[in-house]
Amino acid sequence: MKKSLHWFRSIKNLPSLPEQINSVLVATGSTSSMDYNIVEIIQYDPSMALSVLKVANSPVYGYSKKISSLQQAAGLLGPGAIKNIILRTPILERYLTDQKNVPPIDFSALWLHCGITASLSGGLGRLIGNLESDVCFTAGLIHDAGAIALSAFYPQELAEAFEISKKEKISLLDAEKKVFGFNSSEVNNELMTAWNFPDSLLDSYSDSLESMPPQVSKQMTVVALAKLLASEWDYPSCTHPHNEPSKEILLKSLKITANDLSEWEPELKKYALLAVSFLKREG
Amino acid sequence: MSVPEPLKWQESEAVRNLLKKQNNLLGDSLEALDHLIYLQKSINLLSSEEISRVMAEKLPYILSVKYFSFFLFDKDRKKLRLMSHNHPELQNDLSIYQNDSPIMKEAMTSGRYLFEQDFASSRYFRGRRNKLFQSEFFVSIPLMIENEIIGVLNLNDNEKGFYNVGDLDFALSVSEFVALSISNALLFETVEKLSVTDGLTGLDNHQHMQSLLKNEVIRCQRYASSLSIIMMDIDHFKNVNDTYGHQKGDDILLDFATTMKKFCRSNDVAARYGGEEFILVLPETKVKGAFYIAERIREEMANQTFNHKGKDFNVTVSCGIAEFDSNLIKSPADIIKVADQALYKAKHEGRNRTVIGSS
Repeated sequence: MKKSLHWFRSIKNLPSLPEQINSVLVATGSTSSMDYNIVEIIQYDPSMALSVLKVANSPVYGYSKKISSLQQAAGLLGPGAIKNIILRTPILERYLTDQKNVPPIDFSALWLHCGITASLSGGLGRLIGNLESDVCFTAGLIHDAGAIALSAFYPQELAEAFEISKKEKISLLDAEKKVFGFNSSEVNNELMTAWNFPDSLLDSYSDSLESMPPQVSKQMTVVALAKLLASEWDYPSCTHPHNEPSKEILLKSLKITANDLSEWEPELKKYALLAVSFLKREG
Repeated sequence: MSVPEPLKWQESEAVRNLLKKQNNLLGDSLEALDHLIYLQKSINLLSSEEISRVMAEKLPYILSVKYFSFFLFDKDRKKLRLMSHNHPELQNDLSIYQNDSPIMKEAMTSGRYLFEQDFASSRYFRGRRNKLFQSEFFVSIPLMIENEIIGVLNLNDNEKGFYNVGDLDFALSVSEFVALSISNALLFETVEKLSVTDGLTGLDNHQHMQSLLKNEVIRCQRYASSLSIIMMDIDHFKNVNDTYGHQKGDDILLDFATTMKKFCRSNDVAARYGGEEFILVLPETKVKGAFYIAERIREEMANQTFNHKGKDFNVTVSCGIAEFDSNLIKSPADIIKVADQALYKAKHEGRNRTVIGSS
């Protein structure tokens, strides 16, 4: 069954986990907006981050294609507008009674993977230098937007893609292509283009690293390395586990050595643990 | 009596779908509210030009349309002037008579919005299509302040191909904000203009001229640039008033102001100094250039024939010129004094002439 990639342009926002929405509402409802940092509260939630970035990059605020991190968006929109965006976030229904097949996705694990990839991307951006760490963080957080969109809007078809991937021993991206006619990476791109995201965030995680402009490619490589490290440290992607470039290629592309990475490991693990403790506490 | 399982399941499913629908509608309302608040903050400006710019940037997205145009209504001339739009085919300075647009005319006369889903089959555009638009709806909303029409907002085309009642309700709310902001800005601009303009002639008033002249003198002192001024006075103006009446006197003052403006370049300042005395501030102009301009104005006035109750008569003017000299002129008062003395000399020597003053 072929779906239309263009259809994804009509999506207003992506759903988030009920416990995430609840915890954000509790946090923003118990103190004045003057007393909490809205970015800290939503920084590990990919769907909320996407919604905030979508609004900040809309023509209403006059900064289309310019806002590439949650920090920049928060400065532009203010806590009141962001709280309203969170209120509009739909709830992800994980246990659909009327669906025969649901994709084998552990959404809590997916959220953890996104949060940790974000933390590690931000940390790597800071340690490598010459990169905006807040943009790297945001790019890491939203890299699985296409997968979230497919699982929320076409769960049965995505489940079918999982089956094909398993049976035919092909990557999930290829299996998605067979089922939908496109894959989640393309959905990612479609959403971000429709939502006026800046080029620096477009296709935050792609297979075609070499085809992108140098600075964007470096940022994407950081996200790819962060994703790989997240998997190595027991927080793998449950959506696309089979198609990551090798660590050697990524390190070479970033002009860093395995020794550099070993030296940074304690600090990077601290960042990852922050995300874990935040997401698990909230969950 | 217990409810059968399938019915329970169906109801819980229906309730869940209803909650989703409610949630979506609430989400849309919240988003609309955010847009409204932000738009209100963005167009709460005192410059109609700035408001036009903000409208062109934000309105299409906020109102979920591809194209919009906003026309200001000139009640006296029955004309509609394009103030803001994002149509690739419309000229920015477009101005049309109210009668030339039946749809906008109807919206204004009825004081109600016009909303039709099919452009081509509506009675306003029967059979006609605009190739620019992919969807067929159009909306025309009159903008009103206290029952007074100030303009019309037109909306066309969008991605989804139709405009629903929710979209329309929101557009109506937005149009109220837009009307208020534009009305405030226009009022402010009028008051601002009146505060620096002479009420009868439309030239700059004395106070504004003094401020502009002060800036020019400072600029000349700093950059050693040239500056001349011409003081002009209508000869025997009291006699004109006494003989032909004050209404005719006002007509002559207006006519003289028009002649002055005719010879003014873009940076020159033409002002009414007081009574029948006028002043022309000419930046970057040496005395020779000023003399030429003064003579053109004087000759134009002298050659003009006025008529009162069938009787023709002429009016002449005398002119005094002063040129900025950094060694001798230190303030606006100094240069005005030189021009005034030259004017006095022109009067003394027989009027209808131009005299160059010396510092």
